[in-house]
Amino acid sequence: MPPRVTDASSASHAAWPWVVWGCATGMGLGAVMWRLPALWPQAPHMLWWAAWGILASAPWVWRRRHPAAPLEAPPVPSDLPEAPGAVPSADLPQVSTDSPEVAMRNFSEGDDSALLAQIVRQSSNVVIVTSASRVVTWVNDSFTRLTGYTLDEVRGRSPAELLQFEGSDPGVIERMRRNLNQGLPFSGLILNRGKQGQTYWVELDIQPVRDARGQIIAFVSFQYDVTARKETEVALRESQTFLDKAGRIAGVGGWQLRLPDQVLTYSDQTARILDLEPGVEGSPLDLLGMITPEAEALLQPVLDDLGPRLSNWDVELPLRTPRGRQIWVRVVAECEYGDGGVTAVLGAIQDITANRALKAEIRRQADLLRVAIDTIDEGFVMYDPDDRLVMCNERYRQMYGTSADLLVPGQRFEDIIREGVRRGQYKAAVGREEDWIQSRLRMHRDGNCTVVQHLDNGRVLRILERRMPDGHMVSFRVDITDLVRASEEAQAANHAKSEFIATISHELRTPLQSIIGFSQLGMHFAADQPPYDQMFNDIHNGGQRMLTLVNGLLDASKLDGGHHMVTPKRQLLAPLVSEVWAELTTQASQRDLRLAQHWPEPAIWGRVDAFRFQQVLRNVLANALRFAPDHSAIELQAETSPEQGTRLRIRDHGPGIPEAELEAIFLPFVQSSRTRDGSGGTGLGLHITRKLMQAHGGQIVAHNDPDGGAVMLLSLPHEPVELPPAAPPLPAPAEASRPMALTT
Amino acid sequence: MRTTILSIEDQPDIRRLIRMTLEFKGYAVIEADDGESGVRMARERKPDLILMDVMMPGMDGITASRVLAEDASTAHIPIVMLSALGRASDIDAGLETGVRAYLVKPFSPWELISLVSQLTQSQPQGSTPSPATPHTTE
Repeated sequence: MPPRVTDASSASHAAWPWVVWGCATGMGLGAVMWRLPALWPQAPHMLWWAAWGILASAPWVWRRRHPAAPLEAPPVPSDLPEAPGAVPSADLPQVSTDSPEVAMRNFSEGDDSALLAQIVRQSSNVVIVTSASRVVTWVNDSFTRLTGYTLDEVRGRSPAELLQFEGSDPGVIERMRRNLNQGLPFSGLILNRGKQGQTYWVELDIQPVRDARGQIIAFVSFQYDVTARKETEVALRESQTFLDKAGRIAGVGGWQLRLPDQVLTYSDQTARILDLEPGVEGSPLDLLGMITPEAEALLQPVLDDLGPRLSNWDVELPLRTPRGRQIWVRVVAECEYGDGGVTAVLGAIQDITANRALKAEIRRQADLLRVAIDTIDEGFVMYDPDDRLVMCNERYRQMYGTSADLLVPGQRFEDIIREGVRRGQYKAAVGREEDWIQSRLRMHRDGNCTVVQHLDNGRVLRILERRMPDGHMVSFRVDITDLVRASEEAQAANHAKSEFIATISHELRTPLQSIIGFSQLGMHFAADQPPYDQMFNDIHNGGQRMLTLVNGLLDASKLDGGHHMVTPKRQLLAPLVSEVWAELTTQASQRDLRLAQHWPEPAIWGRVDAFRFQQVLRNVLANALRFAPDHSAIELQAETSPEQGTRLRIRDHGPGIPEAELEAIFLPFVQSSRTRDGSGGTGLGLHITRKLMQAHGGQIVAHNDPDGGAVMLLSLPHEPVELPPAAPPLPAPAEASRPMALTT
Repeated sequence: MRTTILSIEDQPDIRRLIRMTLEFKGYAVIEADDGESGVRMARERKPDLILMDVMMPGMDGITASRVLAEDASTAHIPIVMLSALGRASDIDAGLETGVRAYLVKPFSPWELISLVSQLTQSQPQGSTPSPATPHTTE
């Protein structure tokens, strides 16, 4: 708490009545009046009273400043230096140079005027005597020491003009003028300016001196230099203001409890914090009303812990102020010790209500985040830049059940995975532990990886690790076990389907061997027996259709299963077409159908698998044959350009394809309505055709020609002509890959 | 002396088809209906060519072919494998036993005659064979 600034001037003022009394009762005359011849007879009395005033007041001042000092006369300095230009001692009655004791004895025995004169002249107090018109007639040595002016320099001048009073309280100056004008005494605090321009504060007391008739004949002014005190006061006040401001800014208040009298003092800031009345001394009881039950609970252990030895303590408490505000304060206290033990407890108090609220909010946000992270279904983990675990959620612990006990904050990533490896947690690490650890550490340090991890508990996790800009690493674990299993099951199912189709088609091939083989023999043997040759022919055709279906099923199953079925090679396209047409010539010539081919120059190359591309051509041309009217031409128009790619346009002059079916005919087991006349077709041909074209990086689409007839448009990537055909592709190589007749 | 062909085939109808086809072209056909008896017959009769089915109960065609290839008395006899297994892996597995040819069922009788004729280096006896018809599996 701030020290009480007691107005020191008021303390000094209390001395003045003594001085005044001393002076006034001396008939208003002092020994100093001896310089005025008219007053000479009175001079001893004036001196007497002035000296008495000094003597009476000085010990009092002494005592105020040193309360423990006995109330005795102050020591009279015997070695006061003579100020430069000091009044020559010859101007005053000579005094003996006896010791103060001798002087005092002489004084009390009536031989006093010389002594009084010496007292006044040598007094540490400044004494100024002015005329009734208030010009200086005499000053003592202290005046010279304080102001730098000698008596000669100031005689006849006005103190106000001489010493100025700038900086003094204008009200005080005004009161002084008024009093003196009215012949009244004055006392007050004045700022003076010395000869060298230095300023100093004086306690001023001016008394009018009257003659026997009551006429003012002079003024006697006593001054005490209080500059040091004044400066201390100012410094103290500034320091006090500074402390109070700092306390207010920092929100820290001070307090002190004096133990002997149980008086509680506190700073203004403490008053503000606790809603107390500022500047009032209180009792510890004032605080009891503020203690909430919660605070009591918090305080009790502190007090219990302190026990008999009161030492320092620091505690945060919730309080209720007299105005009903709920606040949190931090109280820090220290004990002060004296002879009899603890004499006082002093400390600081800080309002931490907002701080606590902020902390609570931060804690709430952190809790919220943690709950959110715990709630999500993915595993979450965070490592600091030193690769030590910061936190992970419960899901993460569940996922890594084998090493869950290692997942504690501060644990190093490497230690966790090493121990996990030792316990066999990571399937991929089994048998190559160190390699796996090093590889995992590299990925982890890289800070940007997405990997799949198989664990010992059968779970499969997708790991996503990302390094944050500040060096922390966040990572998610997504359990993709079900996804992986579903995918594996789908693959297994697809594989089973392919196996099933392969088995079925093989099982069907054996009976087909009898059907096709015997019917061919039958056709041969019954060639000359019309009813029978047709029967064998029909059996054979039926067998062939069934075989086509079986092969188509196999192809479709392979293509749908994503099997790699084409091995493209650079070759000329026209010969591939001609070969296929040659196979169909017999059938075509029976109905007088021609293939009109239009190939541009230079010849068109393509990067195709000859066997599979011919499979496409065979299917498309056979379709065209089926629907072309007798005696018509099937047109094949070929063109190529780097921009458009290579196109083969195959058109018949048949009925065309219903618009609604243009796309559907490429779906498996979908037959065009125009083929439901039993004219054949397995429903797989065009589906396989499209799959094969796509496998070549090309496409096949159907549309109708504006002039009638269906159009099949085959497109392939453009293949430049420039490349010289180093080895002109033979049309036959495809045969080699066919599992029909293989010879070593 | 007529060229003798050993047909090792568990399906009677296929055995009959082979016999009819080859006898029609003048070959002598002897038959076995499983791997063990086929191997025994090959050792006893030393045929000019063996037609070997793959999927048979007991000893299958692959094993039988291997046994015959490792037997000095039969290693010289060309073998043609006949099978409904037409995948590349099946064909490779068959050829690895050292057989001369692998024919995927269903084959055409003319195709069989052409192949047998080629491998026995002798003109088929009897009437002129019909031209082989390729691509019968398509």
